[in-house]
Amino acid sequence: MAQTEQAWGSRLGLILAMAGSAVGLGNFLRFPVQAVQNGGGAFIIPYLVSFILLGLPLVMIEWSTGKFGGKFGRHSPPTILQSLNKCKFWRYAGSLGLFSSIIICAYYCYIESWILSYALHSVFGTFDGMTETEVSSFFSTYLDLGTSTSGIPYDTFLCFAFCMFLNIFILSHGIAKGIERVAKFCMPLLLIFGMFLVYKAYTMRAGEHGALFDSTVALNFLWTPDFDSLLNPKVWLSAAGQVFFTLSLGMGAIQTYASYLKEKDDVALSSMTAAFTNEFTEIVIGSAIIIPISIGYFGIDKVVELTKFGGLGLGFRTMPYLFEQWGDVLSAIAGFSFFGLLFFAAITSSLSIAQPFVAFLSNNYDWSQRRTSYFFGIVLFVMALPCVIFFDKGVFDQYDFWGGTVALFFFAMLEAIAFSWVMGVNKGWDLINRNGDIQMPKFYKFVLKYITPTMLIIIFVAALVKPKDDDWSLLSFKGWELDDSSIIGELRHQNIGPNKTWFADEFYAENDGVVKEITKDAIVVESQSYSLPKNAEVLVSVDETVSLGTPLYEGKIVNTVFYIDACRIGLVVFLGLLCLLVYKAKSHNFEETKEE
Amino acid sequence: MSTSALVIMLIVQISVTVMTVYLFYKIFKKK
Repeated sequence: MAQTEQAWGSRLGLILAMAGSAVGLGNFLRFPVQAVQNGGGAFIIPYLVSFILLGLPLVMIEWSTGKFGGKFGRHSPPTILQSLNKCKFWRYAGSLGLFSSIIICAYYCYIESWILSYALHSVFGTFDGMTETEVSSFFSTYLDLGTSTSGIPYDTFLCFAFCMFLNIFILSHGIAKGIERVAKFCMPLLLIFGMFLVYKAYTMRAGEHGALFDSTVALNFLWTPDFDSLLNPKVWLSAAGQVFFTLSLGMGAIQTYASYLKEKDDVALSSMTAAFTNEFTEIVIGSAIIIPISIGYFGIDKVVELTKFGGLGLGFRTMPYLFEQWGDVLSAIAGFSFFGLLFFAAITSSLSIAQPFVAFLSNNYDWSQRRTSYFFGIVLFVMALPCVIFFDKGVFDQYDFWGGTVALFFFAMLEAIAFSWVMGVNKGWDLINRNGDIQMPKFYKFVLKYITPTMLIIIFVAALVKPKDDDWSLLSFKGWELDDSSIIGELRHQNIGPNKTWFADEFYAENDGVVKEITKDAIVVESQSYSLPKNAEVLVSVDETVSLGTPLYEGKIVNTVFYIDACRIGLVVFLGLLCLLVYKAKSHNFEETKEE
Repeated sequence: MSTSALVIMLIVQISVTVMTVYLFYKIFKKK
């Protein structure tokens, strides 16, 4: 099955696949957490402004450039970007799209496997009778590859391998028979599961099934506007970031899907429908599940505390316990619905994220979709392994930060510049509206040329030099202290304490406090647990007070910073290999394009 | 639930729902 023969089977299938690509974990786990952390009802104002000025223009850019490249038989970011301008730089810029899509797909498949496993555990009643702490620690046990949570040895790894195989199997069936069919099946089910959970969340009453508060308490908290937060740059940056992530932008996925459109197909109406379907899923359904249910049981203060660890923690460490309060049958249905909904959202997204690389190989190396899909499976497996094996060493976070955040923004910034300034906004505007069933409002031409690229550059620079604790009042001409999560702060290992060397003879405490517990596997200082390697000699005793930098144990120690640096080197080498693949690709796919 | 929270929630959710339904209506009409 050669790539050039492929096309979408129906317009509805295309829109559902595009919406499925955008609807992902961000809609159900990230959005509600961001809303809680950034002023509740007021967050929605910068969010909608960002959606209109950043999200929709980028959606238009990816759809129209994808369709334009597809017209010349080009179906992946390097060749599509090259079709906008003859300068060779753009094909290598496109390899950044391949890079982020593979890296994201690697860790996304792993999360997908957790979700699938949790859906099955919910159905089989694993969480029945567990306390809140037990459900929370179940997640850590599940991630420990050596421990089985189901009785099947290496179940975590097997589930991950199954999810990866499932993705590859679907991909190998191509666009219409694989991806489109899955989207047509998953998206309606996702909506049904979502509506069921929204109904349950909205009808929660204090006193029923052990709930402490009515659902209105959570809705009040979530939607009451704190207008002061509108003056805080942090809220605007969070809103813009959320819009960006939720629409699956900056990884070439939308572009690749759009490249299978036919010349007569519309871009304007289809792209807007897919984008608004995503917004409906996020604002109407996503906001009304985890926050109302968790606040109903824990109250506002505890949930605000829990959201500090992100949506993944709330979803996996807390929700199974809350569903358990609804009784055996209903908790199985709710657990299966919740994790089923997340699974459908995740798989439609991971398929779209995988397609750019599959399309690149079959398009430029004349491989069949099937052969490319299985080859992609091998590449993905190799890339995902460090993430799975060294999860607790920070490799997962590195993938997410560099592949899933920085590369994404950078690629989107390049896309916007290529579209509006290199190819020219007039030609771009024509591509967006050509054969359109609706015409986009004219002011978008101005937005595309000036506002969107400027917003992306501001966001990128802000991420580079974010001040400590996201406190933007610290900005000064004399300089300011950078946040640990700023790009420069990350590069400088700012968040790593005294254990800064790759290898050492002693391991030092990274917090102050009293040694609470010493086991054969760990030393616990206050709430921080340090795992003990084999043959380590402990240098402290229980009830001893230690401070930052106090030696805790000695032995042959490999510090986390080694894994982080090795991971970064690996990512750079991988990006280099992708550039090499682009360099070796069929030359006619990079020739200058001329429209008839 | 406070009036301001209710108003914002309803305006945002209804607008997004109406817009999504309208766009799908346009698509099916074109078919």
